[in-house]
Amino acid sequence: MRPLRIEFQAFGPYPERVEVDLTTLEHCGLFVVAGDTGTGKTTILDAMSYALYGSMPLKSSAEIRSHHAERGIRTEVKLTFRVGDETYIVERVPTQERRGKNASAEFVTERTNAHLTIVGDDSTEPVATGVTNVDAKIKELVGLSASQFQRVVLLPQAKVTEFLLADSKDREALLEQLFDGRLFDVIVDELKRRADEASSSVDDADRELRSHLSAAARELDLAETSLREPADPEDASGADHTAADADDEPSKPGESVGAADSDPEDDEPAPVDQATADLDPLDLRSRLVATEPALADLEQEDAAAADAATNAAAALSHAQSAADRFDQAVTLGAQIEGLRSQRPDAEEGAERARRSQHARPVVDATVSARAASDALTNSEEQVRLAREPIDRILLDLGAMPTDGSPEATRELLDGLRNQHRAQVAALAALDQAIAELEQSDRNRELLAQEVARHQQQVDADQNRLTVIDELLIPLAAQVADLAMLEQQVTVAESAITARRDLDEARVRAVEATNEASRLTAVHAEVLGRFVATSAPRLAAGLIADEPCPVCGSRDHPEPATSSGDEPVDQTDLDAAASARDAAVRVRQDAEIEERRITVELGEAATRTVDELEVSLADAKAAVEAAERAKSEQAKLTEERQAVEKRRTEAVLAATDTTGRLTEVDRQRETHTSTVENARINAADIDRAEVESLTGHLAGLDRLVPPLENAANEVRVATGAHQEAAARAADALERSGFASAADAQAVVIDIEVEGRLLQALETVTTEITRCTGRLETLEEQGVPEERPDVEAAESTNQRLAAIAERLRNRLHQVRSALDRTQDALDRHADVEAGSAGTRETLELLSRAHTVCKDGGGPKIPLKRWILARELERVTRAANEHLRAMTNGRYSLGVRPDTSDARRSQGLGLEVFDAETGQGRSTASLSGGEQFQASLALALGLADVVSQGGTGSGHRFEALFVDEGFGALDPDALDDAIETLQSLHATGRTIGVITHVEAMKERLHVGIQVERRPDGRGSRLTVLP
Amino acid sequence: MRIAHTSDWHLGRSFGEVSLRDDQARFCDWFVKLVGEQGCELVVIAGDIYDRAIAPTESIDLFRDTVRRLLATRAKVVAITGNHDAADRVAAYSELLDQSGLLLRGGYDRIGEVIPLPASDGPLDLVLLPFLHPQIAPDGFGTDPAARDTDEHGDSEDVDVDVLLRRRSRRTHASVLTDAVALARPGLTCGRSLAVAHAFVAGGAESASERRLEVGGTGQVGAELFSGFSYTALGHLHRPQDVPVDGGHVRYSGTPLPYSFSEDHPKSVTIVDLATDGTCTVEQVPVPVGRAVHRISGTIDELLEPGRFPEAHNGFVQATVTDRETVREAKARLLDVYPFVVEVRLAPVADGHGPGPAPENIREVPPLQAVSSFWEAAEGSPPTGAVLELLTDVVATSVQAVEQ
Repeated sequence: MRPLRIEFQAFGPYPERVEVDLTTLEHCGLFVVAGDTGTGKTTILDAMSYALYGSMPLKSSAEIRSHHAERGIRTEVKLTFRVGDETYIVERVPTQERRGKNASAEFVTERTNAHLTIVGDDSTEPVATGVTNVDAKIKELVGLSASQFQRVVLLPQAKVTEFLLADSKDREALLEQLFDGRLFDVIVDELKRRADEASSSVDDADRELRSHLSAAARELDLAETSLREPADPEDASGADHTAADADDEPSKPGESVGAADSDPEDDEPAPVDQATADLDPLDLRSRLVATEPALADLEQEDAAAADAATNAAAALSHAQSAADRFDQAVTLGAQIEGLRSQRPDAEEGAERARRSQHARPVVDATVSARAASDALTNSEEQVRLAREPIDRILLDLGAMPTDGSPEATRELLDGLRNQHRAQVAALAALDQAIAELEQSDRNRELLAQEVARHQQQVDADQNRLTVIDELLIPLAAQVADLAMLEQQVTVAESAITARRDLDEARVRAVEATNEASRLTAVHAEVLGRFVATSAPRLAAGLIADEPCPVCGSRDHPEPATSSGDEPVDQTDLDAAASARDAAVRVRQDAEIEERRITVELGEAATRTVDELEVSLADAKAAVEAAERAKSEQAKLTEERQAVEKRRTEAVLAATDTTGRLTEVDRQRETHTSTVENARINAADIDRAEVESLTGHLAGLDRLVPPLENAANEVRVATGAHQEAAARAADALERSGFASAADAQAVVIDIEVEGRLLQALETVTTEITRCTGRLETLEEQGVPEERPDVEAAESTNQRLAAIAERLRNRLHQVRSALDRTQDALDRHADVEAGSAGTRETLELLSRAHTVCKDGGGPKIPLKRWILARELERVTRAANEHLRAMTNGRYSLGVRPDTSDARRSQGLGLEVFDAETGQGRSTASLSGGEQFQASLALALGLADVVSQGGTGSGHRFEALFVDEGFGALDPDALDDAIETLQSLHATGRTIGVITHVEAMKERLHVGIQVERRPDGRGSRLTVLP
Repeated sequence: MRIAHTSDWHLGRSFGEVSLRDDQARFCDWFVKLVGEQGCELVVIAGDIYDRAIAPTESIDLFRDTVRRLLATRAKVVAITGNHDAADRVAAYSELLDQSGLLLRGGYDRIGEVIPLPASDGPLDLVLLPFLHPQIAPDGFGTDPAARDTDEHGDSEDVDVDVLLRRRSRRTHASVLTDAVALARPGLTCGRSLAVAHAFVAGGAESASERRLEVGGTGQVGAELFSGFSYTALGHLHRPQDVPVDGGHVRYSGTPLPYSFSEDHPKSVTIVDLATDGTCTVEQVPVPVGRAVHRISGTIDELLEPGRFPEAHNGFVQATVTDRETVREAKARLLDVYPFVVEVRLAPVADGHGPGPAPENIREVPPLQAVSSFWEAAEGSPPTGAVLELLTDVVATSVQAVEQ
């Protein structure tokens, strides 16, 4: 990248526009930017930096704009540069105030902006616009960030000396700006993150392990304690030992007791005990194994106790069953005795019962026969009751009584009903006919009225018509005159106008006459004067011996003299004459006009305007009257038409209505005859009778069904009765009793019957059963005496209790041992499972520690990387430094850790060939420090510009800002030699200095000086 | 006529940290005596009178006194400025000095002038060509229209600025010198001529101490430029040497004292007998004053042996210590034996301060490799197995994270 041209305006101390064409200085190779301190030499570099990156080393944006610049002048910077084969222009402006575009005096704020264009053969093309885009593109093209550029291309000597003398920590910060070490920070962080994750997994596993161990220890202690209980002595008193005896044993210190309550199925890790740290799984396992003998003993004990208990139980049950049998046998014997004594009575009762059974059917049949008979009687009564009201009604009606059968009744009823119906119909027909007739009458009435109305209307209208016609006649006459009257008005009006005109014309005529007279007089006067004056005029024009125009003489003895009057010449005369003539013409015209009007008016001329106006008014009035008449006429005509129309309608309506009336009359006749017929039909019918018949019929309707039902009942009951009687007779015959009464005497309550029979049954059965059971018992064996069951019982209880206790203990111990085993197994699983994670954690921790702390040399990763970069830099720098110091000095990166402080690895030291030792950079003299820092700066420039991608953004330009003042002449020589050798590589090198010797030695390419008017600085380029 | 030719006095120079003021004063004494003894009519000092543009006053005084004493021997003194001198300053009063017998020229002032010098045996044309900075040539200088800043009529304003700059940039040390010689040639009338120039003539051998004449160019001119001059007294190269040319004798007198370690040849001034027909006889007179330079090398023990380099004891010494391990306090120890040891070099150097294999560009190395190198440095051996796997994975993850 080579800067070609930098232009800036109102920038830094330069109030006006400055252009620096670096191409003109290229051939110098190495040039000086000279000027007094503070004049703005560094500003050129600031401008370059600002144009590219929008920032300047050491200066804030507030200092961009020149304080001396006038308010309207725009601060702008433009850099033309070449990258590879392409030429670019970048322009940038800071946020500033400037004049508004519309030529208003107001100031607007222009925001900071940037443009990047590429220069082609004929034109420029935009590449990027806007600060963000331009910055990104610049970074790409130039290959350096702002801070790199500001350290590596614009070498601020003070800064580089700082770098030279800085301690490791500060140098690290600086190197980080130049070489991106972010990746290595991320690597260390990632290692930490993973290590933390692994660590927490391992912690989790440890926690689990501890809980399993403590569970195992707990269970094991419990088992051991239980195993150590002394065996209970056989206690014949049966004292109650409970499992709580185990609590009397001394417990291990620090252990919790409560095993009986622990739930072996509970998988949650219990709270960790303090003693778990001391627990050793192997130890626990061996203890577990050690419990086996004691366990075996316990098992044996338990087995023995169980046997004993079983035996005792067997003995008890044996005694119990024997006692039982004994008791039963005794009881049975007694029972059998009792039953046998009851038997005879039972037999007797059963006999009685059987006899009753035999008699029962007869009794039953008799009873039912009687019942059927009663039923029949009842139903016949019902029939009779049903007939009564019906008969009553029939009687009322005068109808023939029937035989009372429902069929007959129904037949009668139907006949009545028919009759009734016919009567009702006839009456109805009559009523209807009458109604219709009445309706016809009414209609007729209405229609007649209507006809009359219509007729009235017709008459009224007719009258009106007549009236109207009479009124119209005079009006017509008036209207006919209207045209003529209007005509008269017009005439009158024009007469008036003309009369007025006549007056005017007369006046004009008079005036014209006067004027003519006057002008005639004037003319006469003028003529007179003319004549009077012509002579002197002529005389004046007379020339001796020339003929007089008047007289022709040549002598002019007495020429007329001017009389002193105003001279009047021919022109005047002619004017007067023509005026007079004109006036005369006017007069003539006026007179003609007057005469004309007079003729027009005719006789009206004699009359005054007022009179004429009166005539006019009259005429107008007449017209008005005529017009009124006309409108009246129109109105009446309209009305006439309407009335006529109405009359016609009324006529039609009347006719129509009359027609309808005739129709109605006709209908009426029909109705009348209908009524006649209906009356005849209904003549015999008595309305009241019909009415009551209606009611009766209804009643009958209601009464007939019950009758029918009752009759039915009778039939049924009769049948039943017959049947029942037959059955009773049959039963009696079969039973063998003489009569029903006999049978009755024998019958007893059927329940009693049953009971008696049952009793016998029961007794018999019972005896059989007891006997059988007794036999069975005796087969089983009935002892002579009752055995002592209580004794057997108490023995049994005691032995059972003992066995139970032992069993519980055994169970406890076994469960505890199982749980111990289980916990130990799980412990082993987790241990195995976490081994991998542990390994990983160790690996990660180690890796992290090494990268973070730096292993043996104690240099962390990023700093080590930066140290490698620094090595490259010092190596490049040493090329220059050795040349400048004749091989005496070279720079080295100090790697040793002799210093107890943490920031190491980026120390710089100077190796002095003369002493063969390294020493601190601060121990160099000022000039030597300059040489070292110049060499370092050049080394930095070389290394940074080589980039990480190998693309080699080489910098074709380098600027060294001050620092030469500290050098003695020889050192200055060497420094200049070094810079010149750099130039030999093709770079343009600008040296900013105020050192006189430099200006002598080197060509001053740019001279900066203060403006004479004190308003900032100006610069001159001297190619 | 006899001419004493010397040049490149570089008054005010130091050798390393040792000031050469006394040696230079002694040389001046000797030279004055020589000139008197040899009967030289003309003393030619061909440039680089002072070592730097702003010379120390004692150097200026030394020169003034020396010239005064030389003039007192009735010789004339001709001196030109070289590239080390500030021409403006040194030749500021040259016009006024002409009459005194000191012909002093610097810069473009009166360039191309031929000075007729009446010698005892006839006339001599003298052309003085001080070192010319190509950049500050005045407008219109030069015979080459392409190199001039003016158009045909000598007007400079009408010439396009870009053209002007291009022309100007084409000026080189060689081109302006050539132009200067071309300006002078027409003025050569008599049978013998002497050119005095400060230039790097092709064919001459450089030492380590000449300052480059031109930045970005060779600064050389061809010797044939001076063909035709009876004798061309050159300055600039520090080694006394002849430059072969047809038609004349071209020679560098060299510096009076050694000024760099490459100048371990004997130093001399040149005495020229120039006949009227232009032929010349040249004699080299060794300079007996000053310290010689010695470059010695060996292990520190060897170097400290008293009798090892006996002649170096009093001279300027550049010692190269060849011990494999770094030698402590080499210079201090050597000073005991060689009081004027100026440079101490250590070669080879084992602890990374000297040239060694170039450290790899850590930024071009893949990150994993960089981390592995770090690991090796931190733990003593490169990462393997599980560690390597872990580092590979973490580096890959981190690279991805950073790329986002």
